[in-house]
Amino acid sequence: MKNRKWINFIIFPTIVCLLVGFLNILLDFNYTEEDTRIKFYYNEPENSLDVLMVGPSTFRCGFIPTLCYKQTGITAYNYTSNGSPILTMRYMIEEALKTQQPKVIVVEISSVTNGSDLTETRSQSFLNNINDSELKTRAEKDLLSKKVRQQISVPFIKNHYNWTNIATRFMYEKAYQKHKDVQTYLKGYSNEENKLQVINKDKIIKTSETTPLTTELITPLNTLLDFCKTQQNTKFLFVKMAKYSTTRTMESLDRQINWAGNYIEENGFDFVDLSKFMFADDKIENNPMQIDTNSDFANETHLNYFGAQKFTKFFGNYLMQFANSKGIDFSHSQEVDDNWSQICEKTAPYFQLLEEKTTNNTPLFRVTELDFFKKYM
Amino acid sequence: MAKLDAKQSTYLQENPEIDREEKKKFKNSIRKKKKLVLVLTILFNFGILFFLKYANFFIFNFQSLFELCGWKQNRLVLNVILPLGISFYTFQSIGYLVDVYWGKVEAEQNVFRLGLFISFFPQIIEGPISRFSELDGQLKEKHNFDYKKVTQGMQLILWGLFKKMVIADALAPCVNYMFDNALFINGAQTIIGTFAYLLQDYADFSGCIDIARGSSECFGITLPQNFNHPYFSFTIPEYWRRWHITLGTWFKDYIFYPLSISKFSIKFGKFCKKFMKNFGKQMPAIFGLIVVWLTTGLWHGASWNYVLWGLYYGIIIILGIIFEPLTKKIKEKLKINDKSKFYKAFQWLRTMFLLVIGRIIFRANTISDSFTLIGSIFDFKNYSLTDTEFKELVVSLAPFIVAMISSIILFVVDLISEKHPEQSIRDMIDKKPTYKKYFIFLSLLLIVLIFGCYGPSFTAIDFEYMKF
Repeated sequence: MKNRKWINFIIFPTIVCLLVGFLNILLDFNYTEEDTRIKFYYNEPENSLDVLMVGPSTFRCGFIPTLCYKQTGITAYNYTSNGSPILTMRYMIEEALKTQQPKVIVVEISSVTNGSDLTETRSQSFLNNINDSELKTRAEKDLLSKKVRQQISVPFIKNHYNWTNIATRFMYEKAYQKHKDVQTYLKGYSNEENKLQVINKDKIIKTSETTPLTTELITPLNTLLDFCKTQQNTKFLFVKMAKYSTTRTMESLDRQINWAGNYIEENGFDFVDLSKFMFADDKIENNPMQIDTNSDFANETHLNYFGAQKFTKFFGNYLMQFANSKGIDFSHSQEVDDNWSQICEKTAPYFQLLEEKTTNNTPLFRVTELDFFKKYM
Repeated sequence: MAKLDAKQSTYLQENPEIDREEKKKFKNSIRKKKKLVLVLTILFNFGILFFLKYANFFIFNFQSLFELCGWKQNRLVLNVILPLGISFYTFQSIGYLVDVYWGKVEAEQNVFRLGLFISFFPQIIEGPISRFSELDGQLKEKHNFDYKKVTQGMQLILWGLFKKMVIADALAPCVNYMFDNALFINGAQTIIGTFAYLLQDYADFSGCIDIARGSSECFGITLPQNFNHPYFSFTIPEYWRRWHITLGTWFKDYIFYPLSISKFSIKFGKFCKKFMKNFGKQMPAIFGLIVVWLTTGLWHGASWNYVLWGLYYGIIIILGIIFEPLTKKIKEKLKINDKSKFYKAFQWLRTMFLLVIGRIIFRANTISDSFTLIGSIFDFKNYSLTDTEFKELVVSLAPFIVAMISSIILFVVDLISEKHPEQSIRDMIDKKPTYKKYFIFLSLLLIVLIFGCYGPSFTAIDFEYMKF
C-alpha cells in the first residue's frame, strides 16, 4: 500500500509533464489574422509603400488599401495590431521602417487610454510575429515586465490562450506553409465577423470635451512623439478613427483621446479627428464621409465593408490633400504600379464576395489573409 | 487579561479566609479591569481598521455635509494604503480577545504563537475567519508528513484554481462591462450580467477559500468551512447560513447574541412589549439584526452601497420574522405543502431573485447605478438582445462559454455534495479505482492549464474579497 502511494507520487507528475509537453507542441502556432498581418509585412517589395497605417483593429477593418490604390494611386499597408498600445506603436513604426520608407505614416491614437497592463497583453501579437533582432529584445524589455518576460519564455504559458484558435490551426497550417514567402494581397485589411449592426442613434454620445491624460498615459505618448521627431524623412499624421461612442466608458475615453489630440498638435504634429467628418451633421447628405448608422457598422466600434469603402474613399482624398499641402509626391515606379494593379485584379473576386455576404447579412463571414490564400490562390 | 485572571486565582488561593462579600467585590474589580482591557484592545484594533479603511469615507461624507451647509473647504483625502485582508484578521483578533474575556479560551502567553494564529498564511487574504479554539491546538501539535492529507489538500487547491481561473476570471470581463455601463444596457443584459456575477463571486470567493483550506490541509491543519452550497438555499436566512459562514457566525456570536442579552436590550424589549404586545418581544432581536446587518455592510467596505446592501438583507430577514405568522396562516388556508416540489421551486426562485437585487446593490459602482440596473430588469419593453449586444456584454465569447460549461461541472459537484453531506467529494473519489482517479484529476488539471485565465494574454484579476 505504502509503495503504491509512492508510485502514484511519481507517475502522476510524470503524466502531467508529458501532457504539458504535448500541449506545448499543440498550442505553439500563430495563425490569427493579425499575426499574418505583421508576419507577412516583411514580404512587401522593399520601399514600395507610400503610406503606412499604424494602429488598432478599427483601422484594420476601416481602411482598404487596394481600394485606396484604385482611387488615388496611393500604396498603403495596414500595419495594425488589435488594441495596439501607444508604446507598442513606437516599436511597430521602428520595425516597419526597416524595410520600407513610407512618405506618410498615419497613427491612430485611440489606444492612448490603455494602461500599462493592457500594453503587456496587447503587445504580444506584435512581438510574437516580428523577426528576431536587437529591436525585438529592446521592445520586449520596454513593453513587458520582467514577470511577463519570464512567463513568455515558457512556450506553454505563452501560447496557452491559443486554444481559442485550435480549430483554425490545421485549416491554416497548409496555407501558411505554402504562402509564407509571398507578399500579401489584402495589405492588412480584414473585415469584422459581424457584418452589420444598426446603431441606435439615441445611444450615440458626441463629445468635444477633453480630460487630461494621467502621467502614466502621457509617458508612452511622449516616447512615441519623441521617436517620431527623429524620423526626418517621414511625415506623421495622427488621427482619431471615425467611430461612435455609445457607452459612458467610451465617452470618458473619448474625452481623453480629444485631449491627446490637442497635446499632439501642441508638439508640432498634425492631428485630425476623423469622427468629426462622420457626423458633421446628422443628415447623411451633409456628412462628408457618408457613413450611415443603419448600414455601415459591423459593431459599435468597427466599420463593416460598406463603411470601410466610404471611409477609404474619404480618407484617400484626405491623404492626397495632406500630401499636397506638405509637398509630398506619391508617384512610384512602373514596377510598383504593375504589381499593385495585379493585386487589385486578384482581390476583385474577394471583394465581390464580401459585398455579397455583407448585403445578405451572412453571419460570421470573415476573411483574413490566410483565407484569401486558401480560397483564391 | 490573563494576568488579571492569574492575579484573581492567586489572590483567592492565598486568601481562603475572606468572606463571600469581599470575594465578590474583588472579582468585580477584576472583571471591571478586564472589561477595560478588552474595550481598549478592541478600540485599538478597530481604530487601526477605521483609520485605514473608513477614515476617508467619513471625511468625505462630513465634508459633503458641511458643503451643503455652505461651509466650503479644500477636500481632504488621506493617502493610506489598505493592508491586504485587514478586515479578516482584525475580526479574528477581536474574536480571540472576546473569547479570552469570556473565558472560553486561555490567553496565549507566547506572542509568536498568537502572531501565527492571526497571520496564518493561507487565511490572511480572504479568511476563513478562524476561532482560536479551532486553530490553537492544531498549530501547536506536531505534524508528520501525511500522504492522504497532502494529496487531498492538493486536490482542494486544484478545485479552487478551477473555480477561480476557469470560471471567475473568465466571467469578470462580462461583469465589469455590465457594471461600468449601467446606464446603457437593457434588462436582458442586466439579467445575464448579474447571473454571471453570482457565479463569478461564488467561484472567486469559494475558490480562494478552497485554495486556502487546501494549502492548510497540506500542513495537516484544517480550517473551517466557509461555504455550504449557498445557491441551493430556499430562504435568505438559509443563504446567509451557507455563504461566508465564518463571518456570519462571527457576527452572530460577537455582536448579535451579546446585544440581544445586554441590559439595554432587555429594558428595550420590556418597554416595547408595553406598546406592541407580542411583537414588542421581538424588538430586541430586530434591533440586533439591524446593527448586525449595518456592520456587515460596513465590514465589506466604506461605501453607501454596502450600507444599503446590509440594510437590504437586514430588512428582508426582519420582514420574514414579522410576517412569519401571517405567511403560516396563508399557507394553511391555501393548503400549501411546505415540502412540495412546486413550493420549493417557488422558494428557490424567490431567493434567487432577492439575491440578484442584493448583488446588484453590492457591486454597482454607485447607488444610482444600482437603481438603474434594477429598473432595467423591470423595463419589460426593453428586453431585446442582439447578437452584437450579447458579444459586447460577454467581451470574449470563448472563455465565457468555457466558464458556463465549467459552471455546470461546479453545479453537479455541489449537487452531489449537497445530497451526500455525510461524505466529502474527495473521499468519494478516493474510493474509486486508480485509473478513474487519474482521469478525474488529470482532466481537471488540463482544464485549468488550457482554459484557465493566466499568463501574459490575460490581465490578472485579484480575488474579489481581498479588498475587504
